[in-house]
Amino acid sequence: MNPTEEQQNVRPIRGTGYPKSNIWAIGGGKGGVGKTFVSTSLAVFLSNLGYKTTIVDLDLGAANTHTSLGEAAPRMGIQNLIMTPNTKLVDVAQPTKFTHLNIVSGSNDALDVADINNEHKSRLMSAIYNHEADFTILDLSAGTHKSTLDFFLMAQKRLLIFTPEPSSIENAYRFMKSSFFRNVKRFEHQLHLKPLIDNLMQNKSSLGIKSPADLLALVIKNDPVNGERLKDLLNRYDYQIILNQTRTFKDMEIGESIAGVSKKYFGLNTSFLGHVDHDNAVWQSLRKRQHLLVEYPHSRLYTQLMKITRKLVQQNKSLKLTA
Amino acid sequence: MSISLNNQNFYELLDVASTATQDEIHRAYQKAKQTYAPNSPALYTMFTPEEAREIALMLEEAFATLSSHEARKRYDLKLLKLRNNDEPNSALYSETLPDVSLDKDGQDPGLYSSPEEEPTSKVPKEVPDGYAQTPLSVYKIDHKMEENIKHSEVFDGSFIKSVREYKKVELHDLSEKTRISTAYINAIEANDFKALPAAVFSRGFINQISKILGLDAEKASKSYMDLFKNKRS
Repeated sequence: MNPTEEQQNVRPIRGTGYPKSNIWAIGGGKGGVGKTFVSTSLAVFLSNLGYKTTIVDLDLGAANTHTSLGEAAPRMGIQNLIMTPNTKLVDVAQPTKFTHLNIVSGSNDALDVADINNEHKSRLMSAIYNHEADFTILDLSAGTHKSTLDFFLMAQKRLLIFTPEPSSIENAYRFMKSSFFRNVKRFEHQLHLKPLIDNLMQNKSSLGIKSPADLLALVIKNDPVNGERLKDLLNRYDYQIILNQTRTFKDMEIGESIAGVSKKYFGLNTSFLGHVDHDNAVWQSLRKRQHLLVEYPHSRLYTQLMKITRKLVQQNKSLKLTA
Repeated sequence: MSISLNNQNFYELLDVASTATQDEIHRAYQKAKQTYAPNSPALYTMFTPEEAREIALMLEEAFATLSSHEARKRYDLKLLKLRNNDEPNSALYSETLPDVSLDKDGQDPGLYSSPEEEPTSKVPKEVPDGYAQTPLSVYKIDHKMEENIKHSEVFDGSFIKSVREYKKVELHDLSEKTRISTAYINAIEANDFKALPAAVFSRGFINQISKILGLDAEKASKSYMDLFKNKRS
């Protein structure tokens, strides 16, 4: 190996540093599956446990995280951050009624905020990355817009909300597929795999590539060193699935199946975190402009969401409180 | 056959540790059966019904081996041997894009193909005059039968069975060598097409069996699969 090659192999890969908080992103592709409900619930529980938590409403142009929390529309938020250089997330974060929880909202954004350009997106991502807190929860929008995928891929915990309906399952899988290929794009140049991957994808039918797992297997077969590095990078953070709005016992079983299928299809670590039942209490509390955890603390959903939060927290055994 | 799944061992297919208890293996199998059942909601937009069926079959095979103490022990030894064998798998170092078509050579060199170039032979290299051999047997040459085989155009199940019996290849040995279950070999020989898996699997089976029996694999698989497609549709 000549010295240049050796240097290239030792250079750290861009996109593999660590942010200043634990970032959790909640995505799911389809609108109305409960991303905001689950993300606000996790944020409330974390803050109750004493962790300094910030929730960021990344549903640009359709901000409603504050509504789910039962908060008035904050006067400052994302718009201020992206329009003013050198603004930190903490500068635009607003306190909430929950101790240790603040919110970065999009409620007062300009009406064209959804058409965020790359410079503004970078600024926002940088602000999130450098934000000092125990946890930063990203409440993502529906769909597979590139910026949504990029926010999702920033996170150390990548949570996906499914409901048992086929349309939601379809959209969540689509989101996973899009995020997979977006993630590959992040690293393929640096690992000098782009020509190989492009070649494989162009010939995918004749090569029998039917899934991302097949693609990964062939990349590894053709370039074992960089292929394995790519696999490690893609596997750095698992996909974790939450099945929301379950109604029957049969519904609950779908969660493990979805995780199993995802694992086989993507060739990446995927786990099932738990299920949350469908409950009228959700919309009832929303209409009362209170979060369900406040309005119905004795509900079954309280326990289910608490269990999921605990599971996630315990995955990082060395968490420290900032306070 | 899925490229990625073909690289997985039985434990990985069932998503259990290699140290899993029989109970864990059983539960994993039940879960997997549910996941890959037809109309399973978890499959929607990920695997076609055909692909799901192929995966279900692979899982059946995995469970059939791992659920039996003896078979599991033998399988574990095989895995250990493969891991300890340091011979490079030529497929790993190919400069060009790999050909992973099952049709070309009957099997995809994955983790579980034998590291040797030639199939291991149970039989001695030298045979007496008037005798011939397959990798699994020694048999007396019958010239009439040899002519029959040479000129045969139709390779159906009963023909394949007659060749196997002529060449003194035991069903059990053939099954162990090719890793095709005896149930499938019986179905092949009985022309029971409905009992056989999807074409891509079945073609591979015919290829492997033909090679052991010394038949023209390409000719045999084309002929058998023509019958297969006609009778199954």
